[in-house]
Amino acid sequence: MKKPQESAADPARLRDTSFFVDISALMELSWTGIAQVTANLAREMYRRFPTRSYFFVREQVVDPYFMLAAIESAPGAYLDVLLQTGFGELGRLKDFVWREKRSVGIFPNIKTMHGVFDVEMVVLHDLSAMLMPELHEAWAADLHTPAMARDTASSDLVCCVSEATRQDAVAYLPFDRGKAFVSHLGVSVPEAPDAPEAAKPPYVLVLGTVEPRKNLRLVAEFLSSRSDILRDLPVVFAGRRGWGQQFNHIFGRLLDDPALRDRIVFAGYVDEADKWALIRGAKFAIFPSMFEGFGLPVVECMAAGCPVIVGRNSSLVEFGLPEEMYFDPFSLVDFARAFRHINTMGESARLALGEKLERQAKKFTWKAFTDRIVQAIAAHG
Amino acid sequence: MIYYSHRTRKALAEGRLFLPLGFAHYSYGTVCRKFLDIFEERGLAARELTMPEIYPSPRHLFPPSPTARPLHIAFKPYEEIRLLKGAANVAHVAWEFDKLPRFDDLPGNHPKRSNAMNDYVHVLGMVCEVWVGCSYTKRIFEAHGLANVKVMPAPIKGAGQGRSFPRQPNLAFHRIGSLRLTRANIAMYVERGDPSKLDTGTLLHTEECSLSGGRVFLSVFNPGDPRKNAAALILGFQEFIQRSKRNDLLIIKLVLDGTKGSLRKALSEQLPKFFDEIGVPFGLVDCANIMVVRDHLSAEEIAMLYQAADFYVCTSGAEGQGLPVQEAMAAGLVPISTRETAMEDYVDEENGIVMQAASAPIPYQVSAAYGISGVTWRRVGPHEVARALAEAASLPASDYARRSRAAVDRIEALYGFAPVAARLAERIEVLAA
Repeated sequence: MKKPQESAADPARLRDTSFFVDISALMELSWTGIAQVTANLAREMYRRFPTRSYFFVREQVVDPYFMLAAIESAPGAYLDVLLQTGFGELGRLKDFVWREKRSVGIFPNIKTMHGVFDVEMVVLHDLSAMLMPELHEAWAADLHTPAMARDTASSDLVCCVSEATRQDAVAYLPFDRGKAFVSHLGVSVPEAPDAPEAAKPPYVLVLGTVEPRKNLRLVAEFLSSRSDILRDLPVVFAGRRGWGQQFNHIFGRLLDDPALRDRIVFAGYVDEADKWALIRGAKFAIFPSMFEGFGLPVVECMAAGCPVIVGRNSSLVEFGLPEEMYFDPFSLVDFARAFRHINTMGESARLALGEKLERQAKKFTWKAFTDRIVQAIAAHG
Repeated sequence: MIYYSHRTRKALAEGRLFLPLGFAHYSYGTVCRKFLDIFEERGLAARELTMPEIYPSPRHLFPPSPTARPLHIAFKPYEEIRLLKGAANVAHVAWEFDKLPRFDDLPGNHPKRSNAMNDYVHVLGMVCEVWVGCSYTKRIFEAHGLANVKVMPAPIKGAGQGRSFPRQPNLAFHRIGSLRLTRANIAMYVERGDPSKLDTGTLLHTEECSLSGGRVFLSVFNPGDPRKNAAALILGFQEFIQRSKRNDLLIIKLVLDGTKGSLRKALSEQLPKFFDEIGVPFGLVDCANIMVVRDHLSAEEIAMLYQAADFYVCTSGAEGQGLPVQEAMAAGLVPISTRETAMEDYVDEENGIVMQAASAPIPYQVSAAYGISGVTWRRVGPHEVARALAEAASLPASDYARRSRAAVDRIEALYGFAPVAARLAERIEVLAA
């Protein structure tokens, strides 16, 4: 593995700074949003500050080689097993933190410790657990809600992944609003396969974990009232099984119909390779979520040139999609309008739209996300 | 366009529009509906937002808000208030204690501290204005440093005429079931078999009481609500009847939880607990002149209930507005009430009979539930209730008619559609600016 070189362009005040990134989220068995953010932030920090970036899980500092290997091997228990067996551990956190002149703790998710580093920064994804606990499992709301107040209060910097999250944090959480800054998440698109896949019949892709907040019910209601659409265009759902009513319940009426059941495919959790293949092959995508902190799947679709219709809410409006591609997540009428718009669009218009979205998505990079964080740390007194 | 939100998190989780009577916070829905009536009557367009917090700005609504900074009113309990970003947000809330929960007053590990929304001073500071139902609440909020508080009571529709003795018996009342609160009935109801299969016993019949010159007293409350002071009401009435030997009736309309609650629970758990708190065994309750109505009543039946009664008894010392008292007064009933919290705005000796309350610490359960400590409330005792009932029963007809008329006039003047609409118009204008 080629060792990255440190950039000379970083501000002088960062030269005495060491960065400690909490990578606990990489232990998740199936990676979704937060694990992706952690992986990409860790990779970028290592690329930028190879000699002064440390990665830790609880009190263990992880050898960057193994950290990168864990990222490459992607979701699973790889890192967990490594650390449990003692492989991959570079040493104890205390032995690294207090030997550095200026230590910065970066927490891409809930903080696992407070007041350990000279400067602490937490990434605040969204306030949904606090604002809409009924859309979360009780344990998740009970875990995240106290963490929001505690983490923002104990941090010197609060990185909000969207302007919507920053506004919510400032409105609802009692902390010094000067700590908050916005850094949009990024997307990294893997190279498309050299050999084009065999042409597949067109389909619509719906992305998102099966849970109430993702609002699959709206799609189910629409398809129930317009089952003729399914005869022409199958719908593929890709997302982890979450909680609440599950797929077979939400789409029960359609799945009971022998003529339609084969037109609705539930792929469940898909790995990165399958996800990108599904996005690239879709005629268009639907992201019906009621509320997001950022909305990675939308940017992923944009980056792959896949037109996507999206709920007109929270951070999702920050992607700057054409107005007609947004719909109110509580309105079947508005959803039907957006669906009709994208579904009846001519092939050339749809391709042109895909290219436009692809260009728009180029500003959402993990490098830009990390740069903004580094700037904020540099500017912090 | 006025936007409003009222669905509690529980209602949202269960996919309900309004929570049924008896559920915690159902009264926010009641207040909301009263404002919807006034919006409609005044030709003000209003639209519900299921979850205002999801929208980045009013222009992202569907359809988009016609104005850049519309009014959004949240009729919700404090911790559930959510903002419509970019709007003039107003929280319509109720509060009946002399302190507001705030984090500074809580121990460091108190569970309420886990959610920033449990710091009520912080929450009420988020909105442009806080609307409350009475001047008591405004005073308490202002004492906690909140400067944006306005009294904006829910309107009371259609004040009636004053009343006089003797009242005409209402025979239509026969179809409402009731349970006479005798010891035997209570035992039968609580202990024998599945109480849901038992009828509530006798039907309400007030004419025998009216024809014999008796008075009919009415009280409406949730038997699980400790603020209502049910033990003082029942014991006070029993004492009054036993001393006076009169043929008066007390009708208690219980507001029962539509799914979980039952009269059995009220008689076996909720009411006995409140009796325990004042050191009196519930077994002492044995009064055939107390009739308990369990069933859900339609608006017409509630109106009938008001028509059948002479006095409304309110033993609560902690009300945000006191809608049942006000509705009864609007129907011409003379209130027998404390002048505490909301009632200080509209009950006095001109239009009612005032019971004297004394300061008492709130029970631990209430203190813990709200996350407040060192709080007192004003409580009326059973003897004072008995005294006030005796005073009411001995009112001459002319005095009763005068107070009844005054009760109607007071409600009309303070809570009728016209005065509330005028307040509303003034605030809408200010907030729009």
